[in-house]
Amino acid sequence: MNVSPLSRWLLLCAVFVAVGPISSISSVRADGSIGPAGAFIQDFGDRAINALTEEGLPTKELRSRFGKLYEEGFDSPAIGRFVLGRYWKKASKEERKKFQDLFNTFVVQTYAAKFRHYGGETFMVTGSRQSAGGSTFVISSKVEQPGGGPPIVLSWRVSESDDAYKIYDITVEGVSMVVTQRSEFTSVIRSGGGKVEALIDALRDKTTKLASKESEGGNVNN
Amino acid sequence: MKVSHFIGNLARITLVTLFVTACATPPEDPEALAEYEEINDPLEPTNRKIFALNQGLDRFLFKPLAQGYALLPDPVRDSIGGMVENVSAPVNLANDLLQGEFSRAGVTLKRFAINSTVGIGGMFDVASRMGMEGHHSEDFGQTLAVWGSPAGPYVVIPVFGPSSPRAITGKVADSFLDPWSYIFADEDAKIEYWLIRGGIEGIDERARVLNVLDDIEEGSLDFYATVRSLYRQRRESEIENGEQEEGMPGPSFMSQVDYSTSTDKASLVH
Repeated sequence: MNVSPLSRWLLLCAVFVAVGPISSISSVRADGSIGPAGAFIQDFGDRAINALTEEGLPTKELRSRFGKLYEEGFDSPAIGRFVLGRYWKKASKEERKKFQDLFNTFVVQTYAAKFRHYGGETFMVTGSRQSAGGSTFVISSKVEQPGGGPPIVLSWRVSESDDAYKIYDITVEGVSMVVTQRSEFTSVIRSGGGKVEALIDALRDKTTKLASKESEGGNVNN
Repeated sequence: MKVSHFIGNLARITLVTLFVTACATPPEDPEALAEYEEINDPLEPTNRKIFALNQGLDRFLFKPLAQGYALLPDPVRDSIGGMVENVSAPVNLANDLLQGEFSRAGVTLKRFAINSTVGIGGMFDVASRMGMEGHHSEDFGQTLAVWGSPAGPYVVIPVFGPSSPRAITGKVADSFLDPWSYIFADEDAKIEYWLIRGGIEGIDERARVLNVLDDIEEGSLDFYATVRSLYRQRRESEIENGEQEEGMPGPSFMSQVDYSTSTDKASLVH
């Protein structure tokens, strides 16, 4: 019988439901000079892996360590503004304050959890580039997995001010953390009738729910 | 009922569902309209329903299958993944060439030649052990993107998940580029080949992201919007062959932070 070409693509498509393959790896440019910004990321990454992938680390301690690293290395006010997108302007002063506080808690809870599955990785900065203006950098790096799987390619966006470096984004295999977070947050605001308050409420519920996980078991490290 | 008949009907129902159901209404406010166009998801109400359906399918079917598959020893899974990669090599090669990526085409060709023979149909990745690494996947949707075609609106397809008109067109073209689809004289045999292959590919992909997806969903306020953004960014990265990783810091981030109304200027403005 006659089968339309449409049937063929339907079948050809992989049977996965949520995201595309996280498998293609870009070639990493080996760059001898990583500069001070690259050195900052190398040091930061090494400390993060040491502190966060320790075996049997209870969730509470993992979050506390992650929180310290986040506060120290990331430009959280700038990230908070960015992820609100065009709604930052619409938010009142109190809303901004409430949002920033809840967002920082949320970041610590959700991103710390991602380290549960890691242990034994090595982190290496592979290159550094500076913007034309000179105050921002893209630091490329890779994380080698202990099992010998393909390395995870991370790129860090770093800004420099008053001789201090601050991270404002991490891109994992082409996916930007701040862009993803902004898409989600602005979607919540839109569903809530364009009110920042809707996002604040959703964040409050989520962080309360995630906070109760603090008493749960330790690091999986598989 | 014949398999091909069933699949044909499923495809037709999908299309009708996608294009007949009500679209979201574009907003009038210019800022909101700009945002609406950037999100480019006019079928969002329908897409969300299909997404929910897919999540149900995932929970009760695909995820358990992937969890079972993940229990297989690493070498077994590597062999399965390798065979799947090898089978798709001709389509990859065609698309490498159509995109003018000749050095990548060379990699694809060499890997295919070595792994098909010495590697017994891709079961053993002999090519990588010989220093010929660099497996990548190319499809005609990516080729269209390289040629300048826009992705079009976001579409969620039952069972198969996130897509776009460009990606769908690409899949159709890939089926014609694939030499394997010409070796089966019987349509039903062809369909079975696609079903088995698509099933294995899908389970293999799903198994790779078991932990990653669980974490993302757990920390998500709007999983639909998160997946939409992840799909788009991954796709963009694949199209650019991961090269934007090396790019210069774009002005996009900084320009979107609104300093004028910022309550915390000092940290960014120097």
